[in-house]
Amino acid sequence: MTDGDLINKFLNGPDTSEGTNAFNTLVWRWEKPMYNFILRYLGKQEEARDLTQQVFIKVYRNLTRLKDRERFSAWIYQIAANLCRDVIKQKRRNRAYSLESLQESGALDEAAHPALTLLPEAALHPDRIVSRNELRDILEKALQEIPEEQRVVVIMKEYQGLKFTEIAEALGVSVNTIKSRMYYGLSALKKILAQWQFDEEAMLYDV
Amino acid sequence: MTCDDNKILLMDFLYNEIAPEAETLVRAHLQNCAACRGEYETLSRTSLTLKAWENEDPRLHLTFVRESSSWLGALKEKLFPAEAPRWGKLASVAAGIALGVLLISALLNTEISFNNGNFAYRTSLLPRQGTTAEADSQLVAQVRQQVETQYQRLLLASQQQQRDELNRTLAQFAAEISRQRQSDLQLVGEGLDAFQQHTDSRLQRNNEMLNQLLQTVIFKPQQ
Repeated sequence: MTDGDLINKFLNGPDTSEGTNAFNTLVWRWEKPMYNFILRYLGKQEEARDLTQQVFIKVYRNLTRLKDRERFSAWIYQIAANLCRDVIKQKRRNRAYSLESLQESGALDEAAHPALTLLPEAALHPDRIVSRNELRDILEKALQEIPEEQRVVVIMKEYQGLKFTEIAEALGVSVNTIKSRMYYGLSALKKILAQWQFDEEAMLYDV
Repeated sequence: MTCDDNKILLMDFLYNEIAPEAETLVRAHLQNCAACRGEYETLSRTSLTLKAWENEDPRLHLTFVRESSSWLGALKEKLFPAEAPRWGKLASVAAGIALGVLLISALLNTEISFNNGNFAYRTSLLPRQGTTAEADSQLVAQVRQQVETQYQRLLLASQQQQRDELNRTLAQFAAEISRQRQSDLQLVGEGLDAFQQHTDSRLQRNNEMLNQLLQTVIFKPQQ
């Protein structure tokens, strides 16, 4: 049964048990992709869980407004991306406020916070073979380093396996812009991983 | 084909989304341009590295449950739909603001008057016409006079009430005193009666004893 079939079944009787079952099937089908998308976007597991729930609540409330049932994939990614963007904006506002108070207290002096503390543990010891968990942490931090508009494209392409046209549709920008962001995002990640003296060889010696 | 064109085509090529004719062009360019070839190789390695972060289990198992709908919930849903269309939201906000303005203007133009013991109020959406400073001062004087009259009346009534209260209390007090006195006198009388009765009975007993003694003396047998 396609997503479109499930949606039709749900919309034909949202208050019936068949409708609820159809919607829950849709949720179980999309729960993992949504969670992993949000997790890679924001980098926080707890936050990703909360936001995944919010995505499905939004889907539940707005599904009647989805005209083309076959565009569900682009639509749900659009909802998730918007929610993530809102969270980031909110955090930026909060951080701007807290940075102000930190600056006043002098806690932001470079001596007190050297830039190296931001690097993942494994990046500080490049000779060491990294485990899969450490590799995951490195990639999580590396993704957070690149601009948000490139990060979302990289995640949708590399992890969610969407086509460039689907990404363009979900984010509401042209396909060429998406490809260009993908190129710059990937190049930026390449540079960051090289700076941390980490390359794919570490992965080959995975323990 | 230039190296700059290549950035977009390189992405198509890397992710197998390239048209067959473009693919031939890219392959040809990569063969001739070492810089682009190097870039393609490192980018494809980076892409491979990213894949090392595998999907994680959210451990969520979200399940939506049907709510038993209450009439209150249904009404709320009808009045305030979760995701009302934009114009609907705008309309309700506009209606709210209009209602607020009407309410405030009505409150601002409310008049409450007190005349000869009667309260009266009038409210209007527009301010009352024809109010001048003279009319205002006249109104103030009128109100002041009414207040003073009323005050005097209340004062007199209060004084009268106090007097009545005092008189009533004094009368009650006097009645209480006289009743007390009467009962005291009665008690004294009863006491005297009892004392007299007691004395009488003792005298009588004494007489009887004396009589017995006398008889004993009189009828004493001769020796």
